[in-house]
Parts: sequence; structure tokens; C-alpha cells
Amino acid sequence: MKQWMVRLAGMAAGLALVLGLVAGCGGGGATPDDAGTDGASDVQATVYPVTITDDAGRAVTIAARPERIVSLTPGNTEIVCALGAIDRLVGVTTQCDYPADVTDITKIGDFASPNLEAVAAVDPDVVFVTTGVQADVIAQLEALGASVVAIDPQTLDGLYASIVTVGAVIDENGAAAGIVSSMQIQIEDIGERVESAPVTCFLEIAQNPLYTVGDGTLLDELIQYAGGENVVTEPGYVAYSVEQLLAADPEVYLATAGSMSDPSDLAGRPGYSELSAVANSRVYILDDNLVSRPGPRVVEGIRAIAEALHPDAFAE
Amino acid sequence: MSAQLDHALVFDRASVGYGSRIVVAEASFVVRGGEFLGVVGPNGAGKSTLVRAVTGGADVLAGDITCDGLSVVGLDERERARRIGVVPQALAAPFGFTARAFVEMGRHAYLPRLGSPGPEDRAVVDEVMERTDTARLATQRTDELSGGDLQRLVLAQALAQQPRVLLLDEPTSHLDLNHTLQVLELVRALADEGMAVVGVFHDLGLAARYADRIAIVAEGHMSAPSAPHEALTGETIAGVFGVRSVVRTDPVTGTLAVTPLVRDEDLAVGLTRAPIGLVCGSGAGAALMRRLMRAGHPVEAGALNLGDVDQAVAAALGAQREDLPAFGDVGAHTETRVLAAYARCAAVVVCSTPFGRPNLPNLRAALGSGVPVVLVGRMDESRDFTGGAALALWTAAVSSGAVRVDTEDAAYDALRDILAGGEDR
Amino acid sequence: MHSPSSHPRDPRGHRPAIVLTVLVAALAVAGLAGVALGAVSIAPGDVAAAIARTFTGGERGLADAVVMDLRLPRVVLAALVGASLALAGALYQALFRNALADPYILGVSSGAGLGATLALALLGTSYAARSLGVTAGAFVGAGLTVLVVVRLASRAGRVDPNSLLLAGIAISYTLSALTSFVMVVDRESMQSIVYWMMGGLSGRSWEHVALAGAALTIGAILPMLGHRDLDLMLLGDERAGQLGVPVERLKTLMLASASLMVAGAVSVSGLIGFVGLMTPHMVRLVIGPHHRLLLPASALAGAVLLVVADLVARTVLAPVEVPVGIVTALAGGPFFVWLLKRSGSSR
Repeated sequence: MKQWMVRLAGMAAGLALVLGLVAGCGGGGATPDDAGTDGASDVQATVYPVTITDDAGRAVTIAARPERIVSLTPGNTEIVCALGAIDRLVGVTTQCDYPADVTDITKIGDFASPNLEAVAAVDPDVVFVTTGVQADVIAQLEALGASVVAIDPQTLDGLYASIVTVGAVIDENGAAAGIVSSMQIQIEDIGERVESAPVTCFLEIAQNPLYTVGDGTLLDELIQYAGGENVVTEPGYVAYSVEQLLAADPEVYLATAGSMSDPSDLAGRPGYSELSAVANSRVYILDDNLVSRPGPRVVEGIRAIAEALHPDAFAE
Repeated sequence: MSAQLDHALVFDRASVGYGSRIVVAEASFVVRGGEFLGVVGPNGAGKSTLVRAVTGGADVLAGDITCDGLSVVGLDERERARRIGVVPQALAAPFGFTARAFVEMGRHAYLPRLGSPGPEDRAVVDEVMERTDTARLATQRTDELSGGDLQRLVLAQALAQQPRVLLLDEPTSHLDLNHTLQVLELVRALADEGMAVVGVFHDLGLAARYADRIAIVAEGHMSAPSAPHEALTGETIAGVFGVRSVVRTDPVTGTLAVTPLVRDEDLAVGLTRAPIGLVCGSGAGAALMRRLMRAGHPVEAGALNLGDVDQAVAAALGAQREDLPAFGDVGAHTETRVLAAYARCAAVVVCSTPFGRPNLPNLRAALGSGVPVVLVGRMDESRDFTGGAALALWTAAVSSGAVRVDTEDAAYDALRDILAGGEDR
Repeated sequence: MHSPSSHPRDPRGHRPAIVLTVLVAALAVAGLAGVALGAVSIAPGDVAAAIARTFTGGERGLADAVVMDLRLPRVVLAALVGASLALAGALYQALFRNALADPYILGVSSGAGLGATLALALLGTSYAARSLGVTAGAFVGAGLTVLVVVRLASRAGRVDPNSLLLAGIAISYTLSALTSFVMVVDRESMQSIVYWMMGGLSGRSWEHVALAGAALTIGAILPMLGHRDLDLMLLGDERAGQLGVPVERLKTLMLASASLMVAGAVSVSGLIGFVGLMTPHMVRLVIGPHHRLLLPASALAGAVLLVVADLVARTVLAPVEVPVGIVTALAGGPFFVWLLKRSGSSR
């Protein structure tokens, strides 16, 4: 029921942000946008210098159109590539693997500890980071002379906003709007297929101790969009008791690939044999890269979850 | 009687030490049941090492150690504990055990693997605690006992092993007079009852009094055990300990008494100062003699009888003297020599010795020697057994200018004055 | 301090029987509580019915899964691990003649950690690999570590406590560094290992119970038999030898027994601290130093302690589970403060 409301709000927010950016430039006229993408009718190009607010609450000013982009998270890499700027991407992490072409791009360290020297060596104009584990390096990266933009959406709406922000920073506003609306359309489509009652489920992200996602996490929201009801109501990432799991007895048991490799494994764990999901073989493994990366492919993630939860709806 | 069977403890050319370092080489001796062997020697000589080697605390690098013919080197600990009991020098009291439980540990070698102490074991514990006067401590905690009580308790623990051989390493070092006697009397009694005992002692007098034989460990070797009066002579003690001492039979106990006089190092100054003559005897000159020689003055002690204390001191210190047989007189020839000897001295001190006909010539020779005289005390009937001759000599000396003082200490001061003022000869 | 009765037959009176009975009762109560209480509340009647159904058969429901598959193995495991750690702690305290020795003193913890980390990094993500592989790795790691440490500390066939301590420290540092290195290289294993090292009993199966049970049973035989020898060891190596104790052989056997028990405990539960140190210490203060009573009492007390600690760990923030090692550590801190005050004021 509330999905269409959320969808509307998302579109409105996305549009408002774009208009706001364009309006807030001040001085300098609008320039015709470049190769338009679908549904990007009146989105204009970014006027530099532009100031945006990133997900860390920082006001960042981009002086000129960035020609050399570095991404320190796989999610941001996917966003930048989806916006069509892969040829401007000069540095990615070792974990970045989509699209396939990024494997040719210089690796500048891994997600948890980026190598600042390698970053300096590729001479970036802008670096996309995340908050949390990478928060410390922001100051050091700025010292290299690059603009640093933190992208770390916690919700689907936040993800839309992030895509738009990235688009504004690198002057791919049309592509950004296009992607956002495309995502919304696909999600709405999925939502229509799963109009039947939500299926209770549980998502395991670590095996021992048993870790799951709760209220307020991006994954939890994906589950909702996929027509699922997370039995875990506690907020954040939760170390869960198996007893509670047994009492909740979700219809479907989900796990990320990093946590479980073989669904039949589950029956071997103490106590799990009593779960309905195990008895009915409703155990599914999800690709981490689709559900855990904040990027355009979360749509695929939602679809995967939906197929697990409502197999009949996708039977064709 | 077969001697072999009674060889409770035998060291057969056993060299003991640690690792590859020999501390005592080729020690050989036999201790039979009923014998008490005392082991003495300077610190660090290896006495403890010898004792520890019997129970594996030190290594036997050559030779063998046997108990009743059975080699104890490499013997199973349980078997060894039934034969050999040790009372070590200092044992820390374990936390929380009662005295009785502590002594009961001595029965360990007799208890079966899965069993508890039985009535026989309890009887043994009771008995040894009675004998060591520790029964009244039975319920107290060992870590709350005094050193003396703990030492006796350790002895009780060793006795609970009902050993054939008892080894004691300085068992009375921490004990007061009373407890020292208590422990040694008990050990002596045990020896008399047939136990073979070896005790390491620091106190030579105690060793001589309680042990049947004594062996000396010094400079990496152990002497053959012999009777106390043979083992502990003045020369031996001086050689082993570097201490000049007088060794006499203590009239009270009938055993050897060792009186240390002075360390070699303290005498090593060299007797380079003016020689001093002493007319002494009966112990009157002993202190002064020692003091003078320590200060570097050679001493002429006159003619002294064997058996006289001053003679023993003079002999021990190496002072010049004429030795006379016990109760012998100073003959004319002796007197001449003594006079000549006194004449070579810078001064002569007449100590508060009683004079009789036998030793009067010493006095005469001193006064006739022509050197400055210091007279100690007064000459009266308590000292003059010569019918007045000594008094006459005395009076004459006083009127000739002899210095008179009250004590031997004062005499020392007077000598200093004389030497400072007069010319040395 | 209580002084024992002066009855010549048994100086300790009837105390041993009383103490052991109390401890057994406490363990029964703790065990029952552990099975009956948890994140999900189950009526006592249902608990009893579930237990009955294991014997009589019958349709299984939520209660059966929770009680028999989750709680019962967990409670049994807690008891076994607690007993193992306490017993091993008592042994180490006797061998080192130090009432502050704990079971991890020979670097066992870092060896187990490295073994577990390597297993986690090299094996896959299947439950069997994760769970049993980590256990096997930790066990092997712990065992090898003890062997290396003892070897390092041996000189001419003799092992002295000081050398053991130093060797243990040296090896500990080295292995911890290696463990950290592996964790950095294989980032995904890091969270699992860190959590494992905090000590926990969740997700353990009956296989773990079997391993811990076997280690405890085998490891406890020699110490229980040699309780008198252990008493004598408190007098010092030389004195014990003079009284008939085969000192070097005893040390080797006791070390092996203790290490087996610790390895068994650590491999199934990670690093649970303080139990091995606190328990024998507390028990000794109450009943005295005779190992005949100290060993079984420590084992029972350790079992009770850990069963209770685990119950607290899984109910205090339910449904979130706190690692049980944290609960024992939180109890251990104040214990030592109390000890400090007590030793400062008495005597």
C-alpha cells in the first residue's frame, strides 16, 4: 500500500534536488545538456563551480568538470559507470568488479584501507568515498588536492539522492535522472507482481555468530520492496539468538553468499531442522554484490529477493 | 659380623656436582647403622652438594652412592624415599596445610596409588610427632609456625619416611639454644637406635660433640672420616678455615671445643713491629697476646706448660715460646734462653698470672732482662705461691721504675706510651 | 579460615562430602535453569515434556528444538568447558606453585586462535567447515603450541616453571602476530575470529560436546589419581622428589593432562577467561589446598560458574547474545579487586 506513496515521494525528491541544483548555481547561464538519456528531457548540465552536500553532511565545492575520477567503494564505481563516465574513471578498489571493464582500471588499494600513495599517483580531481571506515582518510585525500565526496546511502531514497548527487558532481545529470526513474519503474513493476501478502523472512549476513539486518538498514528496505516482512524488528545490524529465530519461524530463509555457500547446510546446524523454511526448502542464497552494494543494481537485488519470496509471481 | 650388610650409606669414589661441573671429587666413605657422621667445611665447599647428590638434587658424575648395597643413583624415587630421609636447610612452609598433614606427606612413599593413609601410617605419624615434640602443633597451619617449630616438623616429616639413612643439612642453623639441643639430642638418640646419620654442620663444637666421626670438605675434596679429635686439630682448622684457633677438650662435656682466635687475614699484616715479651700463664696473657699479634707485634711468651691455656693460645698464634711438659719446671737452661728472648723485646708485660716455684723463673728472667717492664695487678698472697720470692722481685721492679697498671688492657696502653717514647731495640 | 576438626581419623571432618554435595546440587539447579530459561520463554511443563519426548518419541515442536537442540547441548557444553578450565587452572597453579596461574599461561590461547583463524580462512563457508573445522584447527593449534613451548623450556630433560612462563610469553606474542596477519590478509574472517576469541557457546552441536567431554574425561584421570603427588609438589620440586614423587614424570603428565583439557575447552568455545583462574582460587580459599578435594570441587564449581555465566550471556540482552567470555571477564574484575583488598587487610 505505502509503496506507491514512497515511489512518488522519491520521484519528487529527485526532481526537486535536480531543480534545486540548477537553480542554486547562480551566475552563468544554462548550457545545453549532452547526449540525453531516456526520460531526461529538461535536465541541464552542471554549472561549475558547484557546491553540493554529501552524505557526511559536508558542503563540497567542485571547481571544474572532473576529468579524473577515483572511486573507493564498489557501489560508487557502479554508479559512476552506470552514469556513463567509465572513461573518466582512473582509480578503483580491488573489490570493484562491475562492470567487467573496471578490472582494467588502476587499483588503488582495497575498500577498508585505500592506498593513499596510489591515489595520489593517479592524480584525481574528485574522489568518491563512503563514511564509516573511510571517514579518516577524507582529510588526507583533500590534502592531495582532490575534492572528496562521501556517498553512503542508508535508504533507497537516499540511494536515489546519492545517484543524483554523483551525477551533479561529474556532470551527468541526465543520466542520473534516467537511472533513478528507471530504477523506480522497475521497482514498481516488481511491487505489482508481489501485491499478495508479504512473506515473512530472515536474512543472514553472518553465520557464527548469527548476524542479521534489522530496521533502518538498506537491506531491510530492499526486503520490504521485494514483498517481504523481516521477522527481525530490532534496529541496525543485530547478533540474533537462534531461539528467537525458531520462535519467529520465518517462511523464507535468506543468506548472503559470503555467509553461506550451500543451502542444504542449514539443516545441519543445531536447532535449525525445526525451521519451516528448512523443512519446506525455502532457503535461498543471495549475491552479496546485488544486495549489499548501494548502487543501481539493487534493483536486481530486490528482484532476487522477490523471486525467493514469491516464486509463483515470477514463474514465467 | 658381615660389614657389608651394615653399610647403610656408601660413597664409592663419588664425584658430585652440577651438569658437568664437579664440586667435590672422589668422595669415599662408609656410614653404618648406628653411626653419626659429621660433615664440616667452609661455605661453598660442597657439603650441601654431597647431601643433595644422594637424593638426586645434585648429579653424580663419577663413582657410585649406595644404600645397603643398592645404588641410589637413578633409583626410583619411591624406593629411594623409603630408605633415605633428608632434613634440608630451609624449607618454605606450604600454604594452608596443617602440621599433621605436612608430616603425613612423609608417608607418601608407602601409600598405594589409590589408597589413603591407614592406621599404620597414622601410628607412624603420631609417633614421630611425639618424638619431635610437634604433636601439640598438629592442628596449626604450617605457615603460621615459628622457624624452630617448622624445622622440627620437617624432621618429623623425614622421620615419617622411616628411613635407613637420615641426612641433615645444617639442621640447627635457625634454631635457638633450646631447640638446637632438642634436635641434636633426638638425632643422636636415633643414631644410637640404629639409624645411619649424616649431618652437615657449621658449628665445629656441635659436630664434635654429637658426631661419631667427622669428615672435612674443602677445596673440592672430602677427607676420610676420623674421630673428632683427630679430624679437628688446630692445624687442620687453620688450613681449612683460615682461622687460628685453640682446640681443647671441654671439661664440661668431655668433647672437643674449638675456640677461634683470629683470622689469618687479620694476622697477615705481618709482624713487623717491635717485639713484646709477656710473662703469662693460666689464661692471663691470652687476650693481650692476641691483641698484640693482631697489631703486628711479635710476642715472646716465655716458658709455658703444655695444657696451659696461654700455651695453647701462643701455639695457635705462632708466638715465640719455650714449651714445657705439663707440670714441668722452668730449668736453668730454659731460664737463660727466656731471659735472652725477653732481652730482645722492646718491653715486657707481667700479666696477672699466679706464680709458683715452677714458673717463677719467667718473672725473674723478665725483670732481669733490662727492658722496660709493665706490671699488671698487685702481687699478694692470692698470686704469690713462692713464699715471698715473687713479691720481692715485684717490689724491686716497682722501685726500679716499672710501670704498674690494673688490667691487661691498660698494659696495652702503657706499652704504646713506652714504645712511642723509648727507642725500639 | 576454618580449622579442621581434630578427629584423628579424618582431620577434615565431614567437610568434603558436604562441599561436593552442595556443588553437585548447585550444578543441577544451574543446569535446569539453563535449560528452562532463554531468549524464548517456554513453560516449565513444556520443557519437561520436551525432555520426555526424547525418550518416548513424539512429534517435535518449537520447544523440542529449543530445549533439546539448542539449550541442552549448550548447558552440557558449558558445564564441560567450565570444569575443564577450572581443573586445568588448578593443575597449573600446582605445577607453577603460583595461585595466579591460569590455563592460558603456556600460550595455548594464541595457538588456538591461530589454528582457528587459519581454518576459517582456508576452509569454505559450509556449516561443517566453519563449525567443526574451526574446532579442529583450534585444537591442533593449542596442542602444537604446548608442545613447542615445553620443548623450548626443557633443559637436560628438566622443565622449570620460569622457563615455561617465558617460553609461553614468547610464543604467545609470535602467534598473536601471525593471527593478526592472517586476519588482515583475509578480511572476511576477521569478524568471525574476533567474535570467536571473545568466547562463546552459541551454535554448538553435540559433536562439540563429545569432543569437550572426551578431552575432560581423558585429561582428568591422571590428576585425580595423582592428587597426593600434587600436594607434595607444593613443597618444591626438590623436596617432593626427596619424599618420593617422580617429579619430572609428574610434571610432564600433568602438563599434558591440563593442556588436553584446555585445548578441548578452547577449541569448542573460544577464549573464555577468568574461569580457570578464579575458580580454583576461590575453592581453595574455602576448602583448603588438598587436591583430593580441590580438584573435583574446582571442576564442579567451574561447571556451575560457566553454566550460570552462559545463561546470563544469552538472556540479559535477549535476543542479542553477549559473548560469554565478556560475562566472565566482567565478573573476574571485581573478584580480583576483592582479592586485593582481602590480602592487603589480612595477616
